[in-house]
Amino acid sequence: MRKFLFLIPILFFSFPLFSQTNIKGNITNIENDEVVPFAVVSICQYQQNKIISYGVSDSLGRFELKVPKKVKVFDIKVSNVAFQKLNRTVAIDNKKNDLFLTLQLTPKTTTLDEISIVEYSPIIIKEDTTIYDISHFQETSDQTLEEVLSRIAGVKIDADGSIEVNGKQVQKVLINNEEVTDVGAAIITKSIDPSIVENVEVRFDEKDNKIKDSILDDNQLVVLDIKLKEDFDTSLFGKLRGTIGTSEEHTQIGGYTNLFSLKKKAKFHFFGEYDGFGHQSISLSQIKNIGKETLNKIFSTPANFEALSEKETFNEDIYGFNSFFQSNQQATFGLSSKIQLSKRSTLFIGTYNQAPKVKNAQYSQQTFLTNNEEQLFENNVTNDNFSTKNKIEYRYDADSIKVKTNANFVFNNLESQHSDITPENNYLTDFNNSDIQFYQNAIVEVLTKPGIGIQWKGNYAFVKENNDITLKHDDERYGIYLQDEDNNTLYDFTQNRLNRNQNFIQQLSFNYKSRFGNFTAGYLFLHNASEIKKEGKNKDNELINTSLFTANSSELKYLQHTPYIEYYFRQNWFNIDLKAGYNSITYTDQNFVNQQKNLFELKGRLDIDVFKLFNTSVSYKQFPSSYILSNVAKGLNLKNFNTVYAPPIHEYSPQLDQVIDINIYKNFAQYQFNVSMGTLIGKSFNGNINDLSFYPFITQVGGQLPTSYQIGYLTLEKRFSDVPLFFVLEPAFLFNETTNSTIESEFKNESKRYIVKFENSSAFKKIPYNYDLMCRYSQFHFQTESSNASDTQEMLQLRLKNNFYLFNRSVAFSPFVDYILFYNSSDASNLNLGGEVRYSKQNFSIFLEAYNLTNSTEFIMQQLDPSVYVVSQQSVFGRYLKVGLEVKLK
Amino acid sequence: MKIQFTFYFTLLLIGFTSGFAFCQNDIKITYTYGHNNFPELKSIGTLEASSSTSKYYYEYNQGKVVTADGVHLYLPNFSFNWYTDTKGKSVGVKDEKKGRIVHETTESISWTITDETQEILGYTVQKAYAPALDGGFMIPPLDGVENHKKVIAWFCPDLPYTFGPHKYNGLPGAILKIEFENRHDFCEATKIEMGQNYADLSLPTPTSEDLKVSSQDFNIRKYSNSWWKKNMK
Repeated sequence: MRKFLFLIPILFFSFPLFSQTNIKGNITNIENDEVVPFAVVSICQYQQNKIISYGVSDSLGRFELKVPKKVKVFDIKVSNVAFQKLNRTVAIDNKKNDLFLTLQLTPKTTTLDEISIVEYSPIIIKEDTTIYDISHFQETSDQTLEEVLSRIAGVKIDADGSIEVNGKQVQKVLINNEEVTDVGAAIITKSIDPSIVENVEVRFDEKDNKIKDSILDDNQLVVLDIKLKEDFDTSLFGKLRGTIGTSEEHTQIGGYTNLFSLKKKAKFHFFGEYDGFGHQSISLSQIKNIGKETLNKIFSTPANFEALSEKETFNEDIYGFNSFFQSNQQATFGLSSKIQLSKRSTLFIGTYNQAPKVKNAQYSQQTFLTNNEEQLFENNVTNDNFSTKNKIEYRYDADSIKVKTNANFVFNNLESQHSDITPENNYLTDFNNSDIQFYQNAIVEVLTKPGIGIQWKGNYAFVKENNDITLKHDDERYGIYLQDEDNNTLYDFTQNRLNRNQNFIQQLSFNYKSRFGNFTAGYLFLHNASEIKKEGKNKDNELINTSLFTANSSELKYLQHTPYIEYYFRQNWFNIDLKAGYNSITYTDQNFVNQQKNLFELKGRLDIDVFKLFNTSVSYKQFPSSYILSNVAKGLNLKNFNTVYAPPIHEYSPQLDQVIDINIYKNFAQYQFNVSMGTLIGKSFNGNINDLSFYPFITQVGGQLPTSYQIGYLTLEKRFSDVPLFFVLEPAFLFNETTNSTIESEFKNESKRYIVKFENSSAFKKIPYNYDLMCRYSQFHFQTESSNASDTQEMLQLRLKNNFYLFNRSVAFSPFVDYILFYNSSDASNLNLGGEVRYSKQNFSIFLEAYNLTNSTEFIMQQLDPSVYVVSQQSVFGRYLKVGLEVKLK
Repeated sequence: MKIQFTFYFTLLLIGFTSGFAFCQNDIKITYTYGHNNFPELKSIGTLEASSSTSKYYYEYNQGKVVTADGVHLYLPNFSFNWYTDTKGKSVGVKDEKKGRIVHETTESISWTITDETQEILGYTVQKAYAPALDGGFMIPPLDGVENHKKVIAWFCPDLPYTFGPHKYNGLPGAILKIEFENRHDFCEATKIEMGQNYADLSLPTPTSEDLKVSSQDFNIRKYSNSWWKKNMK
């Protein structure tokens, strides 16, 4: 008897090995719900062709297969000669022993887009990967993958095209597990047609060293991998579009081309667009990692509000609106290629160019905070820009060596005419700004022994900026600043500013990986030098030597030596990253004397999955703020028709910026419910002193007054599985505080913005209607200590877009209404009615677009600057009609 | 009149082609049998398959081969049909002088699918293997190797039929090639014709006049030692 006892543990342990999950289902024809008999059903390992189980549906279209219990995610492939192949990814609930699938096949005579599958999860979560079935979220009217992604719970797309998934920023976008281009998410997600995408896989901890930027860095890299349909030919695909649009001002032909060729050895992407109406498909500002950004590729959170408000997403986040222009004529083209030189080396070449012509108009009321003077003016701006961003990059990836070197050339030219008319005076300001930027960067990483590595980073940058500003006016008071050598007021004044800046950074670090964590010790050396020439000139272009706007500053210097140590430790449920550095800085101060200052730099980040319930991320950093040498250069800067910048008069030195970022995210997958909340606090010392002693000029004296901001948000997202509805509720606040000072006192200005946004959209597949609804309530409160004055503006916005599908979904009629009501401090309303009718076939579509048929162009904005409160009535895009033909190349 | 004629003709054409297109989803695969050691020994087999049923027809025309040992072998004419459905039921039918002999089986093959692939006629086929099958050969073991260990099938997942030549079936795609681990004979698809119509194809029902035989008998009668030894010179 005893000899059989050994069988007991074997039986005990072997039982789970033999346990299996039953996969049952039936197969029907999507067009008429008739059963599809004798279809071959194969279950394959996820994302591989390895068949785990297979069978054939019976005469009633039923099938039953078994898979080992340990298989939680798999691909199910169904084929029958009369139907198009169906390939779907399926996840099994841990608690279930049976899974029932209803699979619908599309007859070969109809389009591939209509394949659908029900009773399975469109979002699959496995360990560090989430897979989204794109066809489930796609609507007939969707033109880009970005539109589909924006409809998925947990996916957030910013106005600049950057993507956040489950509260984490996507750092790379891949196609079929390969990097096609390294210039940001937007260029791909705004280009790819969703009908060619099988699924989108987000990997929160990319393991592939070739994709990772560093072989030494253990930080989690979040990538979004677009898996194209298995049988899709990637040798040439994309979209061509021709349009003709008309408004009250002009009629114009436009065009758009977006082509990909993704072959094994060489990948090309070309896009070009010229359009005079509405938004362009891809903006040059959405092209990332070229030029200055290559210096600081990792997303950094600005510590000061000014930088935050300059972000493209700001207006969209605060006002839910981004078209603050009257007209917008854009010409854009880009070409990039990635060539596989050998198994380990790749070459990337990219050129992106844009020439927009934009017109803005607004009526503004300025209230000066310290003297309570009020100024009304009408402002008209015409901008004519040209920008080019170019990059060539070589990469070498081996198991123990990684080399990346790139050269970037950026050129910007802005010609801008401003006309500012007050009841008393006229001011015409012409700006002609151009800059040439060259950046060269290199990173070399070597793993010398297992766990021991060396990293070297170097870069050199040269930036030459030319800023010419000409102010023509009829304001006698302007003699206060604008004088000739005989102290006569100049009514036609020009300032030319030339800034040559060179930047040189070297960083060497040693990395040691052990089971106790990843230790890094490094040293950074930074050298920045500027030479600035300012010239004040009269209308005959003669130099005025005595002008306050004429000065030369050479040998402006900033030197930084930073030894630092970093520790990184990662466990399944938490990771911690700590960095401490000691900055020894030599800089040119406001008196042109080289000074020395030491600053302690600290960065800490903790990602923790609290009790496996909430993903929480807490980070704190204090770091030397960017010390801009041109701020201490001698002489005044004419900034615009009523603002002058003067170099600092008080002590001016490098300061520490501080940022605290806390995010909590929870995905209740079983309820299709996401909760995220967070707060972001930034504090810096870069506030200028805004002085009105030389009224009507605002004199900004370079200063280091404290400024701060706080952002808080809570997002609740719910998707219903029985009814295809999606709800988002997002209350948020944004506070910012600036300080200003007069000779007598220092005072604070406070802006408080509260926003509650509610979104609801549908994704009905069986009824020919869907909608997107957005309601937003905003309250902006502005307060200043200088006069104890305050102002409150409220805004209510309702946006409803309907999608009616006709003729078997080949025609989509999408009328929209966007109504904004401004009340409390300023009353106004904006009613924008428009829509689109689109007839789509498999390879082409024809559309008619109407925008703002009521020609409603009023939009109220407020801004509280340190010295002035501005209420402006923006004139936004007027009505237009556009027809177009779009052809898909597949 | 001309317009009316054109209209009706067009309607007729559309009706005809759409009806034609609807039914034409079946497949015909022609296989060539060969033997690595006897290149001159070639024969043809044909598989006709709808998604539910297949009929495999094999015919060998009388021929002579000389083995490595100098033995002359004479093979007589013979032919058989092999029907299979998706449930794995197979019926072999052979007409002999005495009448029709029939073998029915539901024997299933336990295939192991591998990741190995190759191309046949432009299709990617995947390798699967199974233990030796009784009566699994199409032609006699000419080089003296009677027992094989494994049968290797190359199936095409892009052709969604679960059928193949002879009694080989049950893979998630039509079998385009059969070979054996330690034998030198094989059969490989040489022609694929899509758009066939085998809607009427079904498994034959044996009648009382048929001689129902076992698998062994069916195979013995196919290439029994008695006839080829008798023909030896």
